[in-house]
Amino acid sequence: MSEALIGRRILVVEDEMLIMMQAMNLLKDLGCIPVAAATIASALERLAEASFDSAMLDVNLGGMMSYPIADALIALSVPFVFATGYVDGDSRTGYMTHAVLQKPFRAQQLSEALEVLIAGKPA
Amino acid sequence: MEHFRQNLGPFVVAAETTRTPMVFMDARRGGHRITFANDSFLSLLGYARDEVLGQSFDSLMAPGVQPQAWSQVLSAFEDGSDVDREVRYCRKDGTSIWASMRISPVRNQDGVVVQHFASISDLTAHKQEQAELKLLVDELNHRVKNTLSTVQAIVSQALRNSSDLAVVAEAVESRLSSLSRSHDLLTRESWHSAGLADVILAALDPFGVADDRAERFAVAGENIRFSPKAALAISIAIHELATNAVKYGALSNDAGCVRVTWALVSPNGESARRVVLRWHEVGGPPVAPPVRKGFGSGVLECGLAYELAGVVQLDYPRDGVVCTIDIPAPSEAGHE
Repeated sequence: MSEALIGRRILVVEDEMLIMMQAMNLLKDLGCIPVAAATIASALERLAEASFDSAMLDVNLGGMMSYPIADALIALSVPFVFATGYVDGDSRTGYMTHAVLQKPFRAQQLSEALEVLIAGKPA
Repeated sequence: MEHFRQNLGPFVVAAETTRTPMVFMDARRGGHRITFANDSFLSLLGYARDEVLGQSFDSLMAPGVQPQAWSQVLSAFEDGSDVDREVRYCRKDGTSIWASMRISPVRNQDGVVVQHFASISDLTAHKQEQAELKLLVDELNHRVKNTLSTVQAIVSQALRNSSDLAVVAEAVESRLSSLSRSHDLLTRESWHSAGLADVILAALDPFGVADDRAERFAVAGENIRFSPKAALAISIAIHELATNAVKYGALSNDAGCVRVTWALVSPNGESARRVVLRWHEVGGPPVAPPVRKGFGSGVLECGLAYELAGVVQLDYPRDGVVCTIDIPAPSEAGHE
């Protein structure tokens, strides 16, 4: 377990219930404090309520693209990783420089992605 | 036109009535003046015949075509080759079509090119189908990846909750089969939405709601339409409650019953309507609260609550488990 992730607050935006629970469990195992949101509105509410160290963002939330959340995270300087089932063909135009986890991802891929994000974040 | 008819008889009828858009042009005057255009050509581009006859083919077709593509068309006049590249042309009303064009020279007895003949294949519908197919394949791929992630979650949760392989296998099989039935239901509805009653009855089907345990279920409520995502989540939750009832609750003896009821409600002072669903077990063995929380209660209290932005209350009174699921009504809560 990486020390870097212990106690980190991670926003998990995912609208498939079981995938979300799985991500929450993985993050708890890593020592993180995950906070869940399944819609754009609830994710934006969570971001307004408290600060986060990083976020994991599903690209497609029930047919709605999660870009408004991505924009809010960028504005707040919260580093994030996209999680998506799209190989290509999604329109992540403007966000192409952001890290992407291809679903289904392994626990280690998630922890490595978050470590990179958190290490790269200015203190 | 009369000149054509006299000389070529049946061929003119063929050219006039074929579905393939066709034009003849005079090769000896600049700009390829149109001398014949069939009905298909006119309807493809949206012109009347008198707007086309005597006009320059070039000035009619060139607008809206990319310069590079147009120079390919022009070079086809020179060598009589196909313009096999798909070129976008502009119709009279400004809309565009995709088409490929074949241009052939017509020579006289001395071998001099006197006319050009152009036939066009309209590729607009084909292009649209291609685009739709690409969208469909991307969406299918996305759905497959999400389903694989869900399967991964199911297996990993089962392993987390037990180290007994037989228990893990049973949990995985039962949940995958439940997921599969939900997919069947949503596929029948073309993945637009699903009715709550249909979702619940499908989830309870393997527990005998329609046959051997029919008298032990009371399911009542309107068939409120939920989104596919919400329907899947509710279906998983109902499956977990029923599994629990078979193992420990009202369905673990010969006498217990499960009542599943729901209604649309408008709480005081709130304009937004909610759906309140109650799972109520009666007649089972005396209930004791579980020592440790398993996957089922996780699904209900954590997963479902987040997924549907609702409140889920799971209680263990001695005479039967009660689960109350209080969620926002779908924005266009209709029923059948």
